[in-house]
Amino acid sequence: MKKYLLSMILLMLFILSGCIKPQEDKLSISLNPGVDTIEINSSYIDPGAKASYGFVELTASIYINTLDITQLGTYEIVYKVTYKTIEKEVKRIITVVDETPPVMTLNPGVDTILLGGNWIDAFVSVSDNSEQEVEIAILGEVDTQTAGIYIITYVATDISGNESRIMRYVEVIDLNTI
Amino acid sequence: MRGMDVKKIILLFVTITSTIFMLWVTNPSFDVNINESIDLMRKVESYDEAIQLSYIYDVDFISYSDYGFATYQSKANMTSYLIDEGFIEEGISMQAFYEINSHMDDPYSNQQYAIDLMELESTWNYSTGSTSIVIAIIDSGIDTDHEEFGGKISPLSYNSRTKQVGLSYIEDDTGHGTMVAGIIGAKHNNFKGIKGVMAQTTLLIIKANNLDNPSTPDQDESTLYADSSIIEGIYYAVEHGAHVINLSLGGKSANPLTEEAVEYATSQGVIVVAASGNDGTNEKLYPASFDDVISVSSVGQTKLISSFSNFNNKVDISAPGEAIVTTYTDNDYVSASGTSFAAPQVSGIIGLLLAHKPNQTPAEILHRITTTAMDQGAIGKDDYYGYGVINAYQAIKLDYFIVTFDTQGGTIIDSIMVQSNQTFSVTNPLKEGYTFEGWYLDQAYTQPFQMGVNYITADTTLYAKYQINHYTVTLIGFNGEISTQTLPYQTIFNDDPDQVIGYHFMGWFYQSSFDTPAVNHIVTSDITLYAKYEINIYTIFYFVDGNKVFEETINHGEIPNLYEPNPYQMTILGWYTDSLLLFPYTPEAITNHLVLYGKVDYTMLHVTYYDYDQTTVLLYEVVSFGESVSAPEAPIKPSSASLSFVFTGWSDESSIVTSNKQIYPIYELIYHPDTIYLLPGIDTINLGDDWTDSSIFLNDSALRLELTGEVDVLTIGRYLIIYRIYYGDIELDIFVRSIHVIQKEEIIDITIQPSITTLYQGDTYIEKGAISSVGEVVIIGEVDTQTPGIYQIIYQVMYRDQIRQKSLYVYVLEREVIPIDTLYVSKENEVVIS
Repeated sequence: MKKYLLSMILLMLFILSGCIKPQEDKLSISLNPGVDTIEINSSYIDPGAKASYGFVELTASIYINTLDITQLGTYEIVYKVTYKTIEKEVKRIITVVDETPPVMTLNPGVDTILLGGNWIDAFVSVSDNSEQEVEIAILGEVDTQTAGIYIITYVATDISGNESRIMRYVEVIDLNTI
Repeated sequence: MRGMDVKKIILLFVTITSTIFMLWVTNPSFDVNINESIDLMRKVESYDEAIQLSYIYDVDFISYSDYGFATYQSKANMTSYLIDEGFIEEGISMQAFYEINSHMDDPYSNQQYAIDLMELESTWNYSTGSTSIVIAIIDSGIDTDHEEFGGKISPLSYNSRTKQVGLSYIEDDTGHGTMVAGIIGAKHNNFKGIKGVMAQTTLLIIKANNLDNPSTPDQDESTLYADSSIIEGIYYAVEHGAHVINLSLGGKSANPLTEEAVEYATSQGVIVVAASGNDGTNEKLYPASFDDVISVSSVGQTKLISSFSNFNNKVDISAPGEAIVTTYTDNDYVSASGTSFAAPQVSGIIGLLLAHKPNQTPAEILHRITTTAMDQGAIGKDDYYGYGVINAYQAIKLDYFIVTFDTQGGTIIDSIMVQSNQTFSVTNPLKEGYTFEGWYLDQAYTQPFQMGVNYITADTTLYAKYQINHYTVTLIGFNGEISTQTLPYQTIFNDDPDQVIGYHFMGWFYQSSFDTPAVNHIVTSDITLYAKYEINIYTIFYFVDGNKVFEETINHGEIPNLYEPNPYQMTILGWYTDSLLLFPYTPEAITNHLVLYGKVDYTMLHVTYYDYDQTTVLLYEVVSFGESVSAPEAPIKPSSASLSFVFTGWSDESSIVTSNKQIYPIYELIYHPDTIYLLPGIDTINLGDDWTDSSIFLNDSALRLELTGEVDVLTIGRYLIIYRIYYGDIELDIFVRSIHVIQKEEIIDITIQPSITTLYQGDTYIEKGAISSVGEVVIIGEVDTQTPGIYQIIYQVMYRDQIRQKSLYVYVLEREVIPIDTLYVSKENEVVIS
């Protein structure tokens, strides 16, 4: 009889264990690793988050997403996982920055001129990931009255202060020395 | 021996030996201390100048001599500077004294072997000297009380160091001077001591030695002689009547002021005799080794050189200097050795020679003693004995005459001394243009003198006789014909050669190539002269219809090619020698000017003008010679994009026609440079990038472009592309494009590694870093996960001159505090615990 009673209790414990209240600390959600400081106007692939209850893998869903990659700033993606009556969430903060300097190319020009001639700066073409206005400073000048090699340096600065430079060699030639 | 005890001899010997030793070790020329003061000398004009110089050069003035020099003292380290400035380092001489052999307290003249050796007894038959012969002895003074010198010492005797005159200033303090003086002038036949070389003489004693310095007990400075004292003594002796100066002393320095003093003495007829030195080496000591000084070496009784005697090529003569018995201080006598005692033998003998025959020059005296010396050692003059050991007797009895040579303009021959009854000969004199014939005793050439055969019996002048030389002048004439003339020296040759028909004579020349003319050649040697001829040139004049149409020149003898006029103008039918055209001319060898007259036939001419293309005929006409043709209207040549043409004229502008003509238009080419230009391109390129030549804008098919130069985009540098524009072969323009290949700026690409950057307080931040395409990544900044906040990690790469940064922002959030109680309260009803 005692033996029966013991086996019954064990059976009850087993059955009741299936109806046990879900445990909060067994539910976990965590971020997948990613690069969350990103360049403006670049593309961003969300690395997502992973969630589990004990050994059971669960799917984390995006709960909030404020990311605007065309604007500098700080944005959030919040992931959430729900298991039975409990739920947990995790936050990913994304920073959109501009650290890419502008890209410049020389425009074709006539950069070999005769002594005393006229030099016209053909300038440069510039583009920048910010899609904002880029300032271009021109360093150096050409003395067309003196034969020699002159270097014109174009310095492009974008709105975030990123800077790039490119050089144009201009030669004032005395035909008598050729 | 007089009663002199042995102890005294030993004591003296020890004293003397130590003195000799000290001489060697204190020789100043071997012992110069750089910090010690040194003695200097300098020639000066006056006392004032001497003082002035001491201020100018900061040297201490010591003394001034009326003989034109001053002495100074200075620091040794200033020596080379002061010597450059004209100062002379003062040397030191020492007594040429080798050793004292023994003191003679009972001396005998028969111990004086030198008297026999030099044959003095026989010499004294000629002369025993004279009180008028003054022998100066520059030495340590003299024992003025010595019986051997009574009345012989000149009252003008002098202390040249202190510059004091008189017997009281010349007392001998070393004994050396007394020893030297006795050899020259000890009395004869006084029943005392020894015999000097000269029985009668005046001794001008010049005491020149230094004072002994009592503060240096191991040195005896009184045996040393400063150059200044010696020089002072030499001048003093010359000025005070000395005939001979004896210097039994010597030093290693050849002081030029000493040499000057010696040369002065010789120039005044004073003979200077000095000791060669006692080192037993070939070292030259001075003053003995100056040219004007008779240097005396020492021999012993067997006439063999003394071991201590210095030998060198300056030694003139030798004399006994070993174990010489002579006077000594304290009225004493010693036997001593040294060249110090050889020199006074020579000085004394010279005194005898002068007493016997006054007014002999130093050269004559030297000749006399050297030619009669007893040859020893190597035959003739040698370094040890000079000419040999002096022989007073042979020297005094030598009789010779002086032969002078009048060479009549030939090479100069110095006079010679010849002994009577001896033949002699000299090298024949040379005289340009003359040949020496022989010597004559008279200027009229009546008494010939045959060298090597005839003698002379008195001083004689010989006259040279010459024969004038004759030379052969070889003359090369026309066509190499040779003739000769024999002409005496210095004849002027200017003959004209024979005339040659058809040629004229241009003159004589020294070369067959006629480079240098020989105008009025003066004969001084055999010579060949070349005659230059030039051919005659004639003119031929050609006349047609009374007008001269041509003239030409032609060499004599040539046959003319007759003139052919322009065939478009006329054809020649024949040339005649007369204007009436009666006598035709046949060409023949020309011998004169010629005038010819032509008979002619005139001809027709063709004229063609061409269009701008230089091929199409624009105008064609046929005219006769001398007619005119009008040119057509100028043809227009069309322009191209870069060129235009302006007609400037015809290739032949003359309207009168004298030949067939083909006439082309000529254009000026006008180039419009603005029509050609460089096209824009990108000519500053990065290393390794492509470069494309954007070339030039050229739109004229009449022009041609040539391009040179290339660009190596794989090598940094400046490249030139040169574009040349040609019209035919004419380079019209040039363009240059300079391309610069420059170092490429590397693109620094930083890739941040994925990581979790949104954290809660207390989480662990794992730094995953970043990867760069070039360079090294440096991580700046850290994350404190215990403190909430925003952290910036900077990944920085520096590459060459560039810096590139990329940021990563890490957020540490405050951990949400979950109110545990509330959680459980709200969920309580749902919890079933059995």
